[in-house]
Amino acid sequence: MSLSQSDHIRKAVAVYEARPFATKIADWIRDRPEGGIAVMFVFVQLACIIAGLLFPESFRYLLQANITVTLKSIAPLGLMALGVGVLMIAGEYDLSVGAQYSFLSIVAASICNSLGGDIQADHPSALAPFIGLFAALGIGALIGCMNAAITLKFNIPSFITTLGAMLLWKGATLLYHGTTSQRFKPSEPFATIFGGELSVIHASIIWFAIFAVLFYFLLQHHRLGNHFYAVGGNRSAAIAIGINPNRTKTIAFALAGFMAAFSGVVAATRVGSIQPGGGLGMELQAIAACVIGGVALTGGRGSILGIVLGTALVFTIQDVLLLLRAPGFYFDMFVGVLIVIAVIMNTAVRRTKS
Amino acid sequence: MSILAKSLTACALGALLAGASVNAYALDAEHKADWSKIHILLVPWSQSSNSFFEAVVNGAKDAAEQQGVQVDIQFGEEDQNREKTILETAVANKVDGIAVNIADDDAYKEVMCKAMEQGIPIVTFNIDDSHHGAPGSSCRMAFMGQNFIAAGYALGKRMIAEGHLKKGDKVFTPVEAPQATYAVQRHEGVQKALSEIGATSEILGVGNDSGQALSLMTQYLIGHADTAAVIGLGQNPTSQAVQAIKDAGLKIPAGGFDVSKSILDDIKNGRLIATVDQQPYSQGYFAVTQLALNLKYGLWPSEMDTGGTGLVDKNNYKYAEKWAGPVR
Repeated sequence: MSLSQSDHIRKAVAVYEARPFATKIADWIRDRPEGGIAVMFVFVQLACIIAGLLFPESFRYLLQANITVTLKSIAPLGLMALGVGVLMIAGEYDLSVGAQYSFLSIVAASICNSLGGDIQADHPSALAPFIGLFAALGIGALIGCMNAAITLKFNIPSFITTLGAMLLWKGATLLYHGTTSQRFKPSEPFATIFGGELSVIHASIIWFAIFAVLFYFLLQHHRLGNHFYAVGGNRSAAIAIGINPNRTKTIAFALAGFMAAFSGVVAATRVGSIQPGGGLGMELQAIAACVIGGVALTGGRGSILGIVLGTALVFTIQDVLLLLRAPGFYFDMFVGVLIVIAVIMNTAVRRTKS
Repeated sequence: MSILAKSLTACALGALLAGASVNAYALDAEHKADWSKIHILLVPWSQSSNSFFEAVVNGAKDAAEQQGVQVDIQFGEEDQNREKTILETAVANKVDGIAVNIADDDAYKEVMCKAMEQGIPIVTFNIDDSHHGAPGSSCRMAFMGQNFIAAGYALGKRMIAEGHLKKGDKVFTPVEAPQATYAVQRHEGVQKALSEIGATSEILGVGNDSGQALSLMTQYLIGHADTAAVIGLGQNPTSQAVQAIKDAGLKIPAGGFDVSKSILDDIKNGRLIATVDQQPYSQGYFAVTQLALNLKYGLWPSEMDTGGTGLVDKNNYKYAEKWAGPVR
């Protein structure tokens, strides 16, 4: 490349960088998968905050208790959705994360309790809950690897493998524990690290933020992130440039299992007990949150910011409906309709800008 | 056959049996080996992960052991087709007796009447046909379970008295699945008591996950700060009621249905006024026992209102606490 040519490119880059701020934002909205949903999210939040300021008594959005509970409700699904979303970007699904969420939180709780980690034990062991957590995280990653091995070795759709795995782990929960609810009141410092509160901020939302940042760097600033996009977007092209698709997908499956386990333990720490049938249905909520956030069902497209905003938007919709006194008996109907509207708007915003 | 006629038949059979007691015990020793070949099928309609049914299953197993018969438990997983297939397979395999929940009046009518025609005795437990075995409804000999409307009414009255509810008050009644028979009937009973004083109630479906139920209930209470009381219509919302009220910054009374360790803790500490116990252990135990007695001696199964309108409260929680989980 000659000097004049690279000068030409440098100049073009400089012009591109010097675009007016408004154009930069418009381009970002158009180019990024989460562009539309970010606009929606900001719009919904602004509308709610204004309404909350105008009608503090009838629309109690800005009440501290409401902010606290909404943030708390986002974290478990959000943590699960991070793993599910990365796996979707790599072109696969995991329908077993909901069953793993219950199973692995019960595993963590029972290990913790049997090692004397209950807060009401005579001399509660500080280490026991951490051992329970790490065991659950390890088993979660292992279950992910098993899902990957079966899907890739026998070349069957992961939708089917993990549908089977969902039923398997649902049954395994009952085999392992029976149907009674499992107590989980861990000793300190575990209880504060995963269940403490700093004014309106619950520990679970801090963990969600930490993992969101970690996943962001993994996807955007690490080679592995590029590999996820590559195998999900165009498998043959990925192989052609020397990426091992099986290894990449196995890591993505393991991450989904790992995050399902972490989400289960964080949720259990908040409530103090686990219902064996609790997580069922969460796998679809997690996929929905990802799709709302712009993750493509066909793989190869999506972003961490989108997954975070998608999850936050689902719970904001739910919260606003309850605050507006939507009829409780038909509540799900409104949530369902608004989720579909959110995705339509997301697509429409991107299309108008382009 | 009316309930009175059934009871008379049962009494008559009982009297006959008492008269021939010497012979009966002689037969007992001779035929014990044969009784172990009696196979009874127990079909709860719910999902197998539903913690409520653990006590039902324990009751059924204890009864089978005491009666020396076999019990096979198959969950309907809240799916009518699945439950119907289980029943059809059992009839085809010539099972000896069936205990089942009827969450849908029309779904199992045909297969249950066919089974009864073939001489397979059937009892229902937990949930009955809403016509309670009237001509033209699902064929069954007797029902062992709670009258949810009566129990809901008793709880409603108690909440009004102790929670000082009055005319115009709004009561929040969260439940796992608003469309389920138990939810509809319990709500009807509670609302009947509330209507008498001119109070209203609102249902919200909160699902089976404790964390999600807690968030939804808290958000509801923040949005409806004028709520006067919380009555959980199922185990999951009842166990989260106290925390949700606290998180929403309210100070209102709460009560509910079903028993679990955390619910009993709340009753012990005075944070929940009372809970309805429908005695699931009794439902499984008496369903299998009465089928076994019918198959062995021809005794007609009797109707039973398990738990009646008795409430678990601060005065009597201790028994419930000791046996929470496996039995209550």
